[in-house]
Amino acid sequence: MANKEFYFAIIGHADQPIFEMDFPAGERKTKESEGTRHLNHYIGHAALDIVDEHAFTTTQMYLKMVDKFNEWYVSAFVTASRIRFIILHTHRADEGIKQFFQEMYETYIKHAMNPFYEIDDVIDSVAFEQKAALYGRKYLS
Amino acid sequence: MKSSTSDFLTDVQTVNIVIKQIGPNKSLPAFKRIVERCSRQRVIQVSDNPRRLFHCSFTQTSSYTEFSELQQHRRVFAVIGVAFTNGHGEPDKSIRASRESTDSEASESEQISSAYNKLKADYPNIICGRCILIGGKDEDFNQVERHERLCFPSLEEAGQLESAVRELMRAIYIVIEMKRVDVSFEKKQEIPCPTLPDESRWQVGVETKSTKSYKKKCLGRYRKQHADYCLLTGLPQLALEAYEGAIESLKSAQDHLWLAAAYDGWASTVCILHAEQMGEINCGAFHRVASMHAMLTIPSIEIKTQNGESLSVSNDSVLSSPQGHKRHHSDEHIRVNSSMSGGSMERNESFGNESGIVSNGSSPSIREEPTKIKASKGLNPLSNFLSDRREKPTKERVMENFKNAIDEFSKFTMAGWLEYETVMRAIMYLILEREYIKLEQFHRDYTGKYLDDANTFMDHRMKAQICLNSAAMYKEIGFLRKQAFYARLSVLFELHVTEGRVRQASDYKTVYPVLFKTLEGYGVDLNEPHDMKNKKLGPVKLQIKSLHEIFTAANRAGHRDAAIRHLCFLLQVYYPHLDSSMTTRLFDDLDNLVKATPTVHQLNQTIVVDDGKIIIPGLQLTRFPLIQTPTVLALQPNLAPTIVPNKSQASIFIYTPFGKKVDNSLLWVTDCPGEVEVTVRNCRGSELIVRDLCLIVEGVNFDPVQARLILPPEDEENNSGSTIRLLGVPKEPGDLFITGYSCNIFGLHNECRFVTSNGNSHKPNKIRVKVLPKLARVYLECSLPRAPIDEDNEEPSAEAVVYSGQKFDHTITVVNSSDIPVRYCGVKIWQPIVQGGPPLIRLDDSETHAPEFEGFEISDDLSSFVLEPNGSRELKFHIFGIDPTSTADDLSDEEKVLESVIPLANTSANSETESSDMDLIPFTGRLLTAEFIVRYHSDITSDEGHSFERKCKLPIAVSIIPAVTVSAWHVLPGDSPFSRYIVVDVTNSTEHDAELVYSNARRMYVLPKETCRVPILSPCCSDVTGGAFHQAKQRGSHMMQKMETERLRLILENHVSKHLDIRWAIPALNLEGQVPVGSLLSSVSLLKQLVLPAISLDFFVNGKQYVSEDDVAVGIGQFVTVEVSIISSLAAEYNGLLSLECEQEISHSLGSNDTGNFMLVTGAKKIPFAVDKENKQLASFSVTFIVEGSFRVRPLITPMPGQHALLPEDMFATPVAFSVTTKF
Repeated sequence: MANKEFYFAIIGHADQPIFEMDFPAGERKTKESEGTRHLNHYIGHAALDIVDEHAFTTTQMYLKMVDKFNEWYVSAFVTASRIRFIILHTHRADEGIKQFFQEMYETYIKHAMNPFYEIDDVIDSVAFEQKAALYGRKYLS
Repeated sequence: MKSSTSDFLTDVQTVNIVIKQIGPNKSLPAFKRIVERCSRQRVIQVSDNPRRLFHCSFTQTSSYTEFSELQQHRRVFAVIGVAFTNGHGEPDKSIRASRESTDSEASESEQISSAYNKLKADYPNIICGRCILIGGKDEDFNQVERHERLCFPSLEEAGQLESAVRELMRAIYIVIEMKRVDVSFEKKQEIPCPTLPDESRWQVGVETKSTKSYKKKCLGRYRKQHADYCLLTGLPQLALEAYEGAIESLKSAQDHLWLAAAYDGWASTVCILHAEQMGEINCGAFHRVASMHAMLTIPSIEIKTQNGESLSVSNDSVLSSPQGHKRHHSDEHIRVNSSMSGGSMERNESFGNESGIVSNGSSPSIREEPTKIKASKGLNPLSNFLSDRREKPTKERVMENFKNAIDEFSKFTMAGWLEYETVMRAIMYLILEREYIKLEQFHRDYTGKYLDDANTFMDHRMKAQICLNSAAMYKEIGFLRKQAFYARLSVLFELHVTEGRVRQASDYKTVYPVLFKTLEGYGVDLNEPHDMKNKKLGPVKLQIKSLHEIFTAANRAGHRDAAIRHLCFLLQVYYPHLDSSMTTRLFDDLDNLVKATPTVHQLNQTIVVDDGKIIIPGLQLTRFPLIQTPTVLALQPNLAPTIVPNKSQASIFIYTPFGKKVDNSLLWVTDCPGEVEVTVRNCRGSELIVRDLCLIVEGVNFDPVQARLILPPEDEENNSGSTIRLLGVPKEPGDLFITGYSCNIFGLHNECRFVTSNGNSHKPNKIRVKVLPKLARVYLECSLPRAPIDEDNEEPSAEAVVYSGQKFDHTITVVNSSDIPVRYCGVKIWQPIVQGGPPLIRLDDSETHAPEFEGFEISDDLSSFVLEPNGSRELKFHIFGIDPTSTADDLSDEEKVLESVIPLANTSANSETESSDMDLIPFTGRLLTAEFIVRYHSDITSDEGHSFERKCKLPIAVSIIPAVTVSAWHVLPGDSPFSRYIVVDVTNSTEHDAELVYSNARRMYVLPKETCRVPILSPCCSDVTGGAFHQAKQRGSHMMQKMETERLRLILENHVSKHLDIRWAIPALNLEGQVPVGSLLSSVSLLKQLVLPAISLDFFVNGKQYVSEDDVAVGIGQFVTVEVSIISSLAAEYNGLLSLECEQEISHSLGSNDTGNFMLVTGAKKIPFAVDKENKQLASFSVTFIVEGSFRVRPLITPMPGQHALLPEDMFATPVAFSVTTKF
């Protein structure tokens, strides 16, 4: 896999993805990418065990790379309210991922402060998507 | 194959014994029982001091025995042949056919003997063998050596089997122990080198046996084997030291494979010691939970000692741990090391404890053990050799040695599986250390290569097994999501299709249980009653996919019921998350499956698959259809009972907080159909057919009525669902609990509980209904014709048409249609209230109360009686056509007392029709409704003495056609001060002439639609005093005023109604009746005027009594003598001054004005008087008028001081009218 690929997901308390995005954006509609997305779900879900274990044992929010399956690395970030951000990536980009997580954390907090948003609900916000895409372009390319 | 990760570790200290079925007669169940009985003896204690345990495993296959020289635990030390003679051991049918070919008993024993010998020959390196013979005679098997024969008459009588197995184990132990104590190789100059069978093939070059390196290699290998024997004979501490020596020798000899095995042995031994110390080995799965429970309930190990005593052992060090989820501090190994180096009594907590398992006290003191071990070291030169230089087995060193072993093994392709086992042992060590993050990383780093496509050494089944092992390992540490991932990966490997092979049903049967166990990892709980509004389902996409995979696997494996259940679960829980194409596909699949299943699938029943290993719980398919908001309806009003508390058992407390209220809200009656109203919705996009829909109840015997529904698909307009009623007949009294419903949907039998409406799906909604015993049923029949039945109410009703003023006699029959007697039946009538005159319906005076009902509340009832089973009672009643305009229902409560007559035109029922020009139907009457209400008590009482009351009603619609009615009335002075004329305007509303008869024989004709005035002379009522109404107004409250006024009104009504008898007759219609004067009689203002006033004044003009309203003609200046007779009805004397006042009538429209100066009075203008009831007084005035015109002269009474002023109604006087003219 020559291209750098990233799959970002915010995982709620019941392990449900509440926000998903692929980077680089705009290439997700093909059938192949749908299949990849499915594989990503499985890999991301399996990594949650080790993410939780890290979260129990460390005070850091950014957990660096926690898991790997085939060509996919899994990096994670756990918020104070135990919402988990994970990124599946094909290339190591620790610094960019760290900054991306930080920015997305701030964006997520701003979104979560909306009184009409309930925690664990699916994030359905154009502005949030735009922000995620912006930070994705900035840090994950 | 390993069932648990700890098996990888325990294997290295376990002696393999192969147990196989031999001979012509085979019985798998009996063989399994024997294997199970043998396996219970897997551990024996071979030495008390130091305590040594000897482990054996009874396996049917052995793998990698070619490495048994390298790793002694792979060696098969003994074989056990199990043979059944003819007729024993419940032979399998399939095997019986082959058995029939054998000719005789003799040949059978020969066959068994030869098979046993062949088995022994298959394993040439065994130490000994046993042949278990079930059913044979000992002497028939002489070919088998005597000490190897274990003959039992039958399996049940094989009581000595266990002891024989233990004997075999002990024999093996002795042989191995002998090998262990033989350390002569340490001193020998030339020793044969232990080699693997095919070692020469992969050895590079020629080895010179005289070199130092070769000698070290030999010594190292011997040491390695010695260490293995130590481990197998229950001396891990010695084994550890021996392994260290072996590593040292083999490392310098560069014997990589054996070095790998030595590293592995050393690390594994440390691991075993550590595990034994923690008490976690052989204890099954360790649950990674944060509660204390899991750790505190670690099962103890039961060890059967040789003499049969049961020795229960558990681990104190674990039990004393205050934490369930034990975490190790980073400095723990230092602490452990210090305890090791101290060599003190603390060794029990450190590595290297000879027996990590601590006894419960019946075994020798563990505290003494370290010294014993030290003492035993004197026997072993190797231990002396190593004791001083021994390195502390730190965590890092253990892992390093494991890694070394793996690295060394990896140099040999054929030792791939050995390498993998080492990896798993290292993982087991990390599990014991609770290093889960390191474990995950280690696992990822070291197992990845086995699963790689490039790994051709392992086929896809081995890879699947590796994944399964990983899954089991992750499950042990509680990483369920990882477990699910690896289990699913193992399925992918298992189903990998190689060339020329297609997937079979057996493949899917293998993978189905694996996939089923992944559900937990994906957050799917089949047991949980899923709330459809539950937002926290989890990773929905993964759950749908995994459930669909499980459905597919079950379907292809031939588990049709399981497939249906999974499919229904998918539809029930995830329907809103499925896209339409998938939904259609799933419904098609379900349809096909149901069609292919011969019996109706019961969704509520648990399904057992795979010999009970998988249990799929029942499912409530509540989404199709959506049945909500169950509401139990009360019985119909005529059937609904009420509980009447027993008054005879009065409470001893007047006020008690424990008083039970009688709950009449939900009462059903035996054999009386009850209804439950539910809302049914079809959330599917197509029509839904629900069959056999009925209620599920608990408590009492109940006959539900099945319903069939065809529900149209929901759209935007029709999405509120439809309301239906589910019926059922309770068959016995008691508490009925309505719990749910059952139906047949999609060809499946579905049973669901009702859930509470507040969204709490976990709490089932159990509606309690009290079912009363069978009660009597009474209905009413009337001689009046029946009216059309109302939609909502099936009670019969009657109707009647009367002209106002008509009176008819009718009968009503109260019928008891049941075979239960009625002990009280009370009749009352609800009807429009009329304030005056006869009521609309009146029971005949002959209907009274039966005398025996003193215990019942009969005050409201007009009549009461008893009804026999299937008996009846006839009651007479009268209907009177009341004035349709004058019922009290027309007015609000405050205006119950009618003061005026409402114009007839206003009584038109519908104002809309009035305004319509097209409406040509004239107003012909008015519909009034009345009801006969019969309440009855069945002759049944509850245990508490309560009785049950029911009510039945017969509504009667009375249509009253106005005939001749009163439209207005006035009161005029009568012949004397003691009588009044009541002038009644009577209207003939019919189309025909009406004849009136009043005041005995006076007759009058009224033309159609005309009004005529009827004067009726009525004497004043002396029963009510003049000021009575005024006094009534002075009462303290409105209600008291009203009651007093009503009392007075009733007295006056009785007085007046005797005189107000106006009868009408319409000859053309052959009708006759009485003019209804109810409105008149209810008018207090009218009746008031018939009270005899306090003071009545009678006028005489020029000596002639003034009786009429005719004017007295006088000329200007003409004197007229006006004499006034003052009559009192008061008992007390009344004193006052009488004077006259004059007023001029100008015109009707302008009224009159006071013109006292136009009238001159000569003589006394004011005449004093004193009157009482007995004495009247005459006062005379002489008056003249100075202006012409019409004058009215009125008396004016001024009370004397001390007398109260007279109210207008207290004085009755007709003013004298004078017509004054100039000429006369």
